[in-house]
Amino acid sequence: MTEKDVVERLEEIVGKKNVQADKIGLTSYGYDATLLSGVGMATVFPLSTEHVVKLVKLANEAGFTLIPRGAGTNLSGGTIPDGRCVTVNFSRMKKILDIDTENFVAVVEPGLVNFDLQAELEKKGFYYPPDPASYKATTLGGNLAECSGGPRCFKYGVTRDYILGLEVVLPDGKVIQTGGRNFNSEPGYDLTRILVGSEGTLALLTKIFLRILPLPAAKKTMLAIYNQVEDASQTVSDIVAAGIVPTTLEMMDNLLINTAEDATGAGLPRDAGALLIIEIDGHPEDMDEQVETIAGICKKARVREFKMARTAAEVDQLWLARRVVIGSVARRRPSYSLQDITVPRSMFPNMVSGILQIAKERNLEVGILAHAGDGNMHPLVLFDQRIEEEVERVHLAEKDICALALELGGTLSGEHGIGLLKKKYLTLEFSPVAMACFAKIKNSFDPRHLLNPGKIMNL
Amino acid sequence: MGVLNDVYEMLNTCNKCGFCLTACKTYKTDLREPLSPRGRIQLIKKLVDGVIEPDQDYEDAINSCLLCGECAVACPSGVKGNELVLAARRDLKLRHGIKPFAKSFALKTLASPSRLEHGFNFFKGVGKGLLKRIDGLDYFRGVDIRNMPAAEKPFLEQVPEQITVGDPQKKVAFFVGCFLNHSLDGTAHSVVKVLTKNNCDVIIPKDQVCCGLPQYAYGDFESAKANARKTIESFLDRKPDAVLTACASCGSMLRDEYLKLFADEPGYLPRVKEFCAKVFEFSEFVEDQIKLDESKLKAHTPVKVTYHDPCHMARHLKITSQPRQVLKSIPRLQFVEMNEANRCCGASGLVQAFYHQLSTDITRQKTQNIVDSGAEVVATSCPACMLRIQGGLNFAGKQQTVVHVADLLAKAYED
Repeated sequence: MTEKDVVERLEEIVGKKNVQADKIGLTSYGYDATLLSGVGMATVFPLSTEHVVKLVKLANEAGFTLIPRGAGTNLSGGTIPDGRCVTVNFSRMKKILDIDTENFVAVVEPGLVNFDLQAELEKKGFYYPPDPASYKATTLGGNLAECSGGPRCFKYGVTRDYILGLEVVLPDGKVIQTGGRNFNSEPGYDLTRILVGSEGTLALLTKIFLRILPLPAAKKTMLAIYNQVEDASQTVSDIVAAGIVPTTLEMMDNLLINTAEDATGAGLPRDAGALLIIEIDGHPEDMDEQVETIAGICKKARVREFKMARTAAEVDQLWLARRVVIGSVARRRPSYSLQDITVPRSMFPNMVSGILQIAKERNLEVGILAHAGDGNMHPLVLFDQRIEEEVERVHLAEKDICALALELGGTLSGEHGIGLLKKKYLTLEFSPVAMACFAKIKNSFDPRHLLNPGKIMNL
Repeated sequence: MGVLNDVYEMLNTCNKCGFCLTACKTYKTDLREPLSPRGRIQLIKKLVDGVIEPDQDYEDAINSCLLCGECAVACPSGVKGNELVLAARRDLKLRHGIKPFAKSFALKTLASPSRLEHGFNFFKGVGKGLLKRIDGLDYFRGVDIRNMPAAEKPFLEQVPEQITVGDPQKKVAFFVGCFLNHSLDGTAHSVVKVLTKNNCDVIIPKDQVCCGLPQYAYGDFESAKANARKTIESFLDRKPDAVLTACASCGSMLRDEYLKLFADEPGYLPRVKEFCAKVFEFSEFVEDQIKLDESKLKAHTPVKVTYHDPCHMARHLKITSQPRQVLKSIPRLQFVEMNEANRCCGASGLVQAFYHQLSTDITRQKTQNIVDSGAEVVATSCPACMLRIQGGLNFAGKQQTVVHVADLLAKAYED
């Protein structure tokens, strides 16, 4: 089947309005939030499970691959097309099918934007805990595929912990439902959990059953400012060691404080070595005591200033400053390389000082952003893609950072997925036997390698 | 490609994080990447890099931008998507002029006072009659044309060039603008009334022309400059204390964009700066420059009012509190905020004519927010928004009416 024939068949399935195959469209769906890009044959917007089934059947018949895509904000190259493939853009499948506050369940289509769900839930006094920094743009399907975390995941866990069930279209066009509205795990193999974080390589999502929670009765947001980044990272491991579980324990270093301040004017101290944003929630009567304990720990770690956000507006400003960080670094340099390593919390200070050392050795500018509470760290190595020699050093630094994380008992990806970007480092973390196990899982779902080929691993 | 090379560093600063997606009304409505700020910026960059050609699809991506400026607010790295689109439109104009013919014809008509007057005369007479006869044409491309007001004669022909008061505190030159001159002349009278009630002499230069924004927005800087120069000279000649406009779009052009437009003429720039420093938007002038004597305001009929922030008010002129203050000073006026008050109404100059489906969908979101607010009247500060939103409300069969802040204030002097 020629490309032209494929496009015609796609138009028959979803209608002309829901297919984009012009040059502009191909370019526009060739990138995501990484520096990678590629070109496919077309982008198609399914509106229903039935559409997705027909697309999968056509892909089998005509011999092309499918690249699922939400908002295209991923940080691992997970939606980059390559050659004879069609991008399946779920952004027009965005209905909220049900919000069941009695049973704490929401049922949604995968193209729904995380923030748009939160806004509807809030009206009913509920929320959905995983809230990646990009939650205003990202889709829930994309969050699920990458198993996104977010600032709240220290206490509440990541996307995986909130997915009760799925409706998916398998690579042969058959539809199955895994899990469902019930809290207990499903009998047999836990297919839901295999699919969460599978980066669109096993099946296409068409419906998601999410666990939702009532909004907490009380919340306190604190800002701790340090002269030294080491003191901030010491605070993190001390808070965890004291048995306190904040919802949020976020760290930003001096470079990122400055780019975030440029972007928001939130009033962050530009000369600070690092800061922590700490948030706790729970019963109103427990708040003061917890704040006091945390303040004590910060003091012990030589905090320069410890502040409480007093108004909702102050809280919003702090959060805005935190959320814009990754986007704001282009103020400094046009390109960045972002890692997503996670280390055991006790190793957090070692990892931070190790990254600073690597940056120095490789003569690179690095900003450190961390969901510090869970040991998940996003070192942002800044550079200019147009300077080849610098790009070389960036690649070396990436490798150093990954190796160090593994040496400290950590992992390569906390929440951004492997995609294309981190594929080459995966064998550092997993033994050949484990990699073979991955391959078997992929092959048992998708023997013809129809879905998002080349992502996570080469087969 | 000099224009785009000049902005290449800003194009390259977009690191594709996608934070702008949700801020963009065209993307949120259509959900295709090329209609998002990130998509448009990447396309412009790819054009400079020689990866794509400026084909019709490219032009559609560039020309469907509302220039509302929301993306620039949302961008963590300070990339100004609207300015990049403007540069891309300038680049297109330099490549092959403004296409299609209908657009360049409309822009030329707007730029010339006599052609514009002929256009409106035709519309008043033959045009409206024709519309009535052709079924379904009442709503042409989402605009309620039949109910679109057309002044009996242009406002500039209805008033003397100078209106003086007994004890003038200020001498204000009124930049009327095309919409208030030809369509919403009642609003122009409201502005004059508020000024005279507040002891201002009003000068209304007869030789005033279009501010040049419509041409500027599509990259025709030459026509925009010609009109800008006429405006600056005509108004400065009258030596006013202030140049006042009641149109947010004209306001942003007169006060901010003229400076950019003449950035390449250092010899003339001081004159431009002198002019720009005198420009005030209506509610800004009323709140900040004259002390409104609230005891003189009367309003017997209670009314529930909400306010729509035009893009050129909220994000270009950055005037948001003053119109609300003016409204709140009117007795028995209950002010309510609507959801997304500062989001674009979908008008955006010629976007509504050339991308009418997209524009109509965006207007529908605005009218829904108005209805949900419970307000009976929507006040705003831009005649383009007024006509667009009123058309949208009529189209949806709603009873709410749209007025200018100046209309409500002027009425409070009558009651």
